[in-house]
Parts: sequence; structure tokens; C-alpha cells
Amino acid sequence: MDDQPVATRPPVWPTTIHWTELPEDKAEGGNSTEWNFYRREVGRLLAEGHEGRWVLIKGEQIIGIWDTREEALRELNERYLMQAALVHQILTREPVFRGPIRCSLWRS
Amino acid sequence: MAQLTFSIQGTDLVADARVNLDAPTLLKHSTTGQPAPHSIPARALIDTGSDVSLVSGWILQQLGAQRLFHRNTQGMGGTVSAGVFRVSISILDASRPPPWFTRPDVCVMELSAGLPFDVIIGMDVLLECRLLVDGPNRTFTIDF
Repeated sequence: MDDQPVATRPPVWPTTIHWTELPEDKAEGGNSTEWNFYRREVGRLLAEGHEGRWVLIKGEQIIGIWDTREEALRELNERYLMQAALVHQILTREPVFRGPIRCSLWRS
Repeated sequence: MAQLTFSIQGTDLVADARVNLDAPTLLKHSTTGQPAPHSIPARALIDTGSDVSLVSGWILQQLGAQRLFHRNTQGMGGTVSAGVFRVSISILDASRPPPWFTRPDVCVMELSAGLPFDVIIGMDVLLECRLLVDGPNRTFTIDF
């Protein structure tokens, strides 16, 4: 009989996702172009040893890869302030967040 | 420790809020001489069931907020990926003077239009304060 308290059981929803399962961003505009480009490139970036580093992408071009988010953001602010771009940490498994309880309220 | 107390509206924890661009971007505007936007008043729902905070599209558009990051989020239809914006969010009682509970750099998703609130405050913000719900007295308090 399973007598483990319910509150201490691991969550039933996925808390991480493998890079091969990253969903496409089907939204038009925003930084969907950069995200969908990242999805195509992430396997290569991981193979090249960039796990945990931060990439800056503009359009379908990798602008650079840095060790910290702050360094990537500094470059973004210098070159692309107020423009669509993507700053993202390169990970084999990415975290999955819970949306609001009224989860139909948000949109991609 | 500062404190804000609100009435519980029905079963909802609703508070006044103000949203602006994130502090680093405002600082960049300031140092480059660009005009910075004014913060926008909003109606916020406190939602402990959400990991993330959300802001209405009209506010993000009015501020000129930039999509910088991407986040994978679990919703009813499975996991989706969407761009997220950097903003600053303050929770306040509009009928009283400060203090305000301000988070200067929060990554938020876009909230659909046509809802009775403009902001959802998720656990990413709530973990920075103490939230006390007094059910019998129909009030809730934020200590920070």
C-alpha cells in the first residue's frame, strides 16, 4: 500500500523537456523566428560543448554565445535595444513551467 | 517590514498593480536620453497555481516591451513554447501612499484580451514576499 503523503509525491506533470521535444512557436512576429531557428540549431550547439551557456540570436543568425545571461543581455542592449531577439540558455533538458490555473487565459 | 492589505473579492485575490519596462531597460533609456514610458495602472489577480506571471497584450504593446526570452509552459493542450517579455511589476494599494511591492525585472507571458484583470501574479513574484490569506475576514496581506 502506498502510504507516502500526497503532497510529497513528485508532480504528475512534466517539469523538464528534452531538446528534441521543444515545441515550435507558431505565433507570427515576436521572436518566434529566432526560437524556431534555435530549435534547429540546439543539437549542434550541445554537440559543440555549449551546454549551460547563453546564446543571442537575431533573425536566423547566432550573434554570439556567452557564459552568463548578463553578458548576452549586455550585447543585446548594445545592438538590438527594443528589437525582437532571443536570449536563451543552451540546455539538454529545459524546465517546463505551470501556466495559470485558468490556463486557457494565456496565449503564445 | 512593509505591508499591503486587500479585501478578497468573491473568491479572487485581486490587487492594484503598475507595470513598466524592466529596470535595466529603463536605465538604458535614461542613459541614452530616450524618453521612458510611464508605468501603466492595472488590475492584478494573485494566482498561486501559476509558476509564471502574465501581463495583458495591450499593456505590453503600450510600453513597447520586447520579447527577449522563450519559455516552455504546461497548459491544457500540452507543452507549448512562447516568447516572454521583461517588465517591472509593482503591487500597491491605489487608495494609499507607498510603500509598493516592486519587482524590477520579471519575465512575463502575454495574457489574452477580454479578461477582468490585466495582470496575473504567479509564484515567480510571490516567492519574493509573504502572502497571508485571512479567509474568515475576507482579506489578504502581502508582507515585504
